[in-house]
Amino acid sequence: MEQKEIALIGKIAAGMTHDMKNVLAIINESAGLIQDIFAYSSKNANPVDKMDKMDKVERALNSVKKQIDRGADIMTKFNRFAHSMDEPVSQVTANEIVEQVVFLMHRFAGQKQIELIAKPRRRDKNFSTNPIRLLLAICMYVDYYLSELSEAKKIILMPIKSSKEIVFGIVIKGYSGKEKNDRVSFAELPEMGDTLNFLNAGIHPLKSPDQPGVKFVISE
Amino acid sequence: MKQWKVLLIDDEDEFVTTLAERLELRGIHALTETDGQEALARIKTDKPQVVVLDIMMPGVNGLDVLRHIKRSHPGIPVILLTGRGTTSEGVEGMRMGAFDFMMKPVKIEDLISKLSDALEIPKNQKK
Repeated sequence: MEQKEIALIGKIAAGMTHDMKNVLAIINESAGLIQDIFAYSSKNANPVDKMDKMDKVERALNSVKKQIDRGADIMTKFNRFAHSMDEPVSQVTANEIVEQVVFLMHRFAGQKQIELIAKPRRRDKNFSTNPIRLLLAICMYVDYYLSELSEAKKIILMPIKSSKEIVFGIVIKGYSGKEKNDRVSFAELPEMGDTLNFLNAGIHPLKSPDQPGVKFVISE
Repeated sequence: MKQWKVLLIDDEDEFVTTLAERLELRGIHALTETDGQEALARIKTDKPQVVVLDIMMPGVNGLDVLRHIKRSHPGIPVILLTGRGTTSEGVEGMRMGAFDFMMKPVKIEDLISKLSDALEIPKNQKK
């Protein structure tokens, strides 16, 4: 594994743990609010005040429950990501890959106010690969576009139909490209020769060399 | 005693609203904003005495908000909140003029103590 791949794993892990701290911060405040309500309650409070307090307690408890679900979802997906390093080669599906990349990178897209979405195919495709290196390779292109295309509105990740190859499209929407076209040209993409060779993969333009977005093609 | 007016800025809506309710129970007037740009406008109109600001926010991030506050309202102390496990961002924020930083999750007593320090209120008048 290359240094830039290890650095990306660190960045992703930092993002996940940051999200978990936010989850815990909300649970902390909600539990604290419930404690406060009891601590500040007067035994002689009128019925309206009591109703208001019960309503606040219920909202705080709902918030705790919601954040526990959010935290569990983050941890389940992060655990799946960690297990993608278990075996050098395993069976994956194209839809799983795009969905996992969106999960791993969505918070970084959110910081740039760019929507990152997966568009799974109705007919999913199974194939063998090194899952962690494939995930990181696609994440790296997404990361590149997030840092270079701050004006973009949306990045769509989707498996593209192909009979002989496994193809993923990384499609940029809402970017005019007028001012920074030189910075987003195909030639400027991150240098990932070793990773692409390892995965038996290649990168191709979507339509023309100036079109932001690429096709990530794995030969079977 | 004059009531404190605090502006809480964090993109996690449930976090700021719940924290605001807890501060209100303690007699502290707490305003909330979840967007950096809107928070800057709110500072202009509502003139809080102190700002509690999350560093990591989408769009205009916390350090950008801090930079704007220090330019337009240098007298308003800013306490940064960070979800990071390292102090580097907080230290960077203090270099930019933040009063101090705290790591999430925060204890309410610690936050109130920090607010009190930021407002230079003598300890014996503390809430």
